[in-house]
Amino acid sequence: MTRVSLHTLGVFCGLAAASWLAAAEAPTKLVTAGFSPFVISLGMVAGVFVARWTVPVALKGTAYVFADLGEKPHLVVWAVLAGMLWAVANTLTVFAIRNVGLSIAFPLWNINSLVGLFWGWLLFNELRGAGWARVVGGAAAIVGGACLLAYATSQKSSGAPGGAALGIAAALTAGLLWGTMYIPYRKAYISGMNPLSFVTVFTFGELGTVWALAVVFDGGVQSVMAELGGARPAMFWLFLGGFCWVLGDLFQNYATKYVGIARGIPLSNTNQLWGLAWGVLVFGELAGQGAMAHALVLTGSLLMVAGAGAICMAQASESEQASWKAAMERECVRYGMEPARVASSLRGEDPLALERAGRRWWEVAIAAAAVALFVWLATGAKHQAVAVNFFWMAVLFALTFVCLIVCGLLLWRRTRFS
Amino acid sequence: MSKKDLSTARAVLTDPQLWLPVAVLAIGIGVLALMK
Repeated sequence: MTRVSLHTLGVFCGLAAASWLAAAEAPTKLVTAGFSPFVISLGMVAGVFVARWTVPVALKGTAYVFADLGEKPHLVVWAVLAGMLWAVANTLTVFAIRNVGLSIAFPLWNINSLVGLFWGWLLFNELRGAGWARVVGGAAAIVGGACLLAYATSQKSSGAPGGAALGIAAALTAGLLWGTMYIPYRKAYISGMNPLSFVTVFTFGELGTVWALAVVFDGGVQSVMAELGGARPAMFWLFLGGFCWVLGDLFQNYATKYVGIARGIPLSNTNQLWGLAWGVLVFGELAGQGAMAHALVLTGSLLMVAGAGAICMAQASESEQASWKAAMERECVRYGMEPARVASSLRGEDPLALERAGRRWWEVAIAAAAVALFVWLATGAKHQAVAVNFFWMAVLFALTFVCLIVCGLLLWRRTRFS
Repeated sequence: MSKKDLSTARAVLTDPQLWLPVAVLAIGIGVLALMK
């Protein structure tokens, strides 16, 4: 049987990431308005925290994860930093939407893929060879398409303190933070770290910062705890959204590992297309809108598909792969890692797995605790008053699961989740 | 703290790439403070 190339694998991961990152928005849509955005964010990140420990433990085991972290301890700092960047950016988007509305805010923070592309070029020698124009053109098309979709599907913004200027500043800063978050991602993967290990530490920076921001901005610990208690009927949906988000983010991490930031991030940013499908088909968001909105949606979608297609076909040239290798060797010199071992991991092999096989009894306990938590939350969940088209919901879930199974199988066969 | 830990900490703190995301994080927190 022919082995799938690492480029193809990375492209599949980027596209699968898009489907799951969009699916993560669906459960949060079911949450009735009335809760503080910080509490919604905190509830979702709590679900993310649970999933970020359960999935890696289920796939690789605790001994593997700790050995991987022990081999590259410097990446603990980078992972926590990445989690903090994510949390601050996410909070900024709440304020950006409040001040200028989604139609203006979304395109502004969607520059994150261009920021990531720039850092990939500047810091990690990406796009140093033939084919760079296709990647840059594809990323620009995806951003342009996202702008059109956001404009076509936007709702009216509400007047808010701080005005439009601060809202725009918040959205741009969120894009800058998210684009910069990919520096730690890439740093981890040119060091040969397994994405599953990286996210278990990332989540501490994420949860800690979201908690701190909620406490600072939402009236202190007691106030946040009271609001969390009040949000109990909606918490299952937030946890479910968090779980879907983790699957999407894991695929995004694998895409970053195998095709780099410049290609992986624009591909996962096509989640806007899936989000559109959820919004239009399941929640009926375009109902009653005119022909202009439909034309914008069609144009934006075609632009994104064309952009993604261009990136899919832009395989890194030999000269670019040599540049990647130089970046990897620089990391090995700085942090005292063995180049042959790191190179092996970048080829999709898993040297650590050969040494750290075996499972521990507490891994079953971790998985059981996570399942029990979800079941407990489900027993208290209340039906949310949102109209849903169940046929299209089933179709989209089925397609999303197909992405999970196909991409999961490809990753397993080619890399054993390395 | 072992000698290896100290050496790792030194390598992290002297990595010029570290300070770029740290500076961006500081900008983000600054903008958040303005929003409040």
